[in-house]
Parts: sequence; structure tokens; C-alpha cells
Amino acid sequence: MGAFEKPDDLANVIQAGYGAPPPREAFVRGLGERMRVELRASQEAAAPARPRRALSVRWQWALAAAATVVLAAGIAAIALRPDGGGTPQGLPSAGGPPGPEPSGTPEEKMVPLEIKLPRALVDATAKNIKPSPYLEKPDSRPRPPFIVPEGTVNLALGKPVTASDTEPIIGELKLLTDGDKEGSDGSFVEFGPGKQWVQIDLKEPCAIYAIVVWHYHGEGRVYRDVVVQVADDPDFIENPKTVYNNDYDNSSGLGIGQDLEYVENYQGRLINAKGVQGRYVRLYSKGNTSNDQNHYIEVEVYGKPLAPAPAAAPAAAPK
Amino acid sequence: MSDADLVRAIQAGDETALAALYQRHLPSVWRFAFSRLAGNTAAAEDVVSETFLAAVRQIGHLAPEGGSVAGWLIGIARHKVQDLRRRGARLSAALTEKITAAQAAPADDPSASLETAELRQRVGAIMDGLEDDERAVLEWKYLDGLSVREMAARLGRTEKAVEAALYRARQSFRAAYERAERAPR
Repeated sequence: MGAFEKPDDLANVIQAGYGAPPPREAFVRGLGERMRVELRASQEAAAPARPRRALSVRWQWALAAAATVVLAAGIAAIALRPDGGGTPQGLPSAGGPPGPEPSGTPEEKMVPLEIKLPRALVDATAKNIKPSPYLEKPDSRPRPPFIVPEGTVNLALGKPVTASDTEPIIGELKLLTDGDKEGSDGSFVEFGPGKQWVQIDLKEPCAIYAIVVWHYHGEGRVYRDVVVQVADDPDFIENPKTVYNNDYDNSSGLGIGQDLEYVENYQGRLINAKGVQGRYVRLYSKGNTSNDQNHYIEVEVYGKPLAPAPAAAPAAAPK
Repeated sequence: MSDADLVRAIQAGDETALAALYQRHLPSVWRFAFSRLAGNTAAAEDVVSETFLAAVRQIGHLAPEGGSVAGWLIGIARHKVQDLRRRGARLSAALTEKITAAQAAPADDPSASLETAELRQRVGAIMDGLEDDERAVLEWKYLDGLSVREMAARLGRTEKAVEAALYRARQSFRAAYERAERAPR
């Protein structure tokens, strides 16, 4: 007896043996967007008007990074003199659109910051968000290289997290610093409605060059009143330094911010911290355009621990 | 619009054509990856992403009338699956065990899950071994529910040619399936 006696047998075998659940909608949308970006890049690279053969986008980025390293080293040598130019302190807002503004010392070699990105889940040009003078135009292109002193690492990885909402609705606080940025179920934390904060203890004073935050990139949405501060004390009383603030109407009571709101995407938000020093990093938000809750997938704090202060006097030699 | 027309439009920078080609062939590439990776969704997403992104980068070199687009995409996906397996580290130990178990399921195990795994492994291997057009028309007919006319439009062929391809595909599938059933386990 054959395996396909009835007309439907073959269909049934193929469906049972080769059928698959459909891929996730967010994955399908995100990949479609990445393909569109890739097509544009390849079209630009192959543009016939150029006098010489166009470089690939990857090479263009590499050359831009190299040029920026040279430029950055020059700026650092001029601006950060040993006589006290030093690291910026008490910044009203050091954030704003990320750019290569290094904060190392003249001796430090400057390199592009390597950030491992998660898979794209969503088209950044979300349709349900109204244009606003306070909203940055969505841009799904790859982020330009960000230059940092060599040896800069993610200081937040695995560090303890505290929060204003001690009992998250979904997830655990440790998810913020576990290195998983994918945004799938089980990789984000949901906090209650209204103004909430999360805080990372870096365990020692550090120089911070960049803070990258992924609130939730499974959907194009805007988180409100994003304020990021760095401080030496866990209560943020003594000398909190604001490195990002897009609360344009001071509705969160932390001051009027000069930074723009932005649509979440898989690249996260890179905040230029310009070498600000501190041990604790606190991030505020106040709901988002889809709901009143606050979410975090991951927060990365790129910097270097400060060198221990030299002893006041050499210890006496043992006799 | 046939696949060849879409390829030409994409080569000219048409993003709508790219979206159409993606939408048209995503189900097949997805099923292939899902089948070859024993149902591991995360790994399948990796393979499908890498496949389509590589396809966009290479499409400028593709001859629109040079062959089956479905076959070309599955060819890329096949390489990506092999790459993923080689990388090893990206496949968790659990997944590796799962794939191994699915591929070497003992014949005397009566459990339904193993029977299903065995069926999926057998059908996956048969589909992978068919000619590109044969696999495509079987999927379109039995999994995507396309009509012969729709298949003809995609392939840029007559309906008679598609019916003939479907006939050959069914014969090939049946023969391969029965061979696999008779084979010692």
C-alpha cells in the first residue's frame, strides 16, 4: 500500500512535515526595514556620478571613524590641558544628539565605541506619533561612530539596579544590566505609571563617556520626560549632574530640558556623557506614547573607573 | 508581476518591489530555516535575516531571467544554516541536542513527538532535495494556497507549464517519500 492513497494525503503530509508557525510580525517588519536601508546604501554606493568607484558604506564609516579619531585627539589635546581643563563637571545638560566629543586625557588614544546592537524589531518611523517641535525626526540609519578613550567598557554590565518602583509589573531589575537587548518577552522590565526612575550603582567612581538606553524597541514609541543624571551619592542630593533632559515643559520637576524627544528603535539612545564623573547613574521617564507605563530593556554605561588617588605621602619603609 | 520583473525593479532601486519580493518569498525561506533548525525560532530568525540582507547586497549581480529566485534565496539560506551550525557557539547545547535527537530519532520509539520529529525531518530533507521550482510550487499550492494562475504570474510562465511542474513535483515527492519509508532505519 502506498503512502498517498487519497487525494489529500500528499497535502496532509506536506502540511504536517513542512508547515511552520508564521514568523513574529515585529521581526518581519524590522527585517523589511533593514532591507530597505541596505538597498539604499547599495544604491548610493553604486551611484554612477562619482568620479571614482564608490566605497561601500562600511568603508565610508571606517574612514569617517579614522578621520574623527585624528580630529578628536587634536581637540582633546587642546581642550583638556593638564592645568585643569579636565573633565566637565556640573553640566546643565551634556546630552543632546550624540557626536564625537571626546573627554579623555591628551595621552589617551581615542577609538570608536563598539556597541553590539540587537536585532531590529520595528520601523522607527512609527505612524501613530504626531510631529512635534520637541520630537527628533526618526532616523533608522546606522548611528555614526562615537569616539571614546581606548579601554572604555560597559561599566553597568551585571551591576546592581534599584528603582522608584520596587515591585515591577513585569520582569526583574537585574534585566536592565544583563546584556540582553533583544526586546523579546522576558527581556524587559515594566514599571508602574507616571514618573519613575531606575538607578545603577557602578560600585566605584568612574568617568562616563556614553550612556545607551533601550526602553522598548518592539514598537515605535516615544518615552516622555527622559532625564538622565550622574551623581556621587545614591540619593542624588549632593551633586547630581544632568547629562540628558527632554522634559520640555518641566512636568517632571527636574528642570526644563534642552534635548529632544525621540522614537525608540533597536539602536537605543546614545547619550553623550562627555566624561562626567560619578558612581551612580539614574534614568527618569514618565510613561510613553502607547501607555502610561515605563519600560527598560537594557542600560549600558560606557566609561572607565577613575584611577585611585595617589597617597598623600609615601609610606614609611618598614624597619 | 513576475519575480524577474521584481528583480529588475529592485536593481533600479525600487523599494516597493523589494517589499513585494520579500513578502512573496519570506514564507518559503522561513519554513526552510525553521525546518532545518528543528523549529528553533531564534535561530531561524537569524538565518532568515542574514539570508535576505545578503540577497539585497547581491541582487545587483543577479540575472533576472537567470533562474529561480526562490531557489537562489533557498541556496543562500542553506549556506547561512551551515554557517550557523559551524559557528556552534550560537547554537546552545540544548538546541544541538534537539537537532541531533530529531535527526537520529530511534525507530522503535512509539512516542508521538518523536514520530512528528521524524516526519518533519523526512519531509524537510525531501523538500530540500527537490528541484527549486518543484519545491516552490508544492509550497505555494499546499502551504500558501496559491492558484495555478498566481503561481504562473510569479514564475513568468504559462498555467500549463505550472500544472506540468506541479505534476512532476508531486511525482518526485511521492517517490522520495516512499523511498525514505522503505529505507532501513
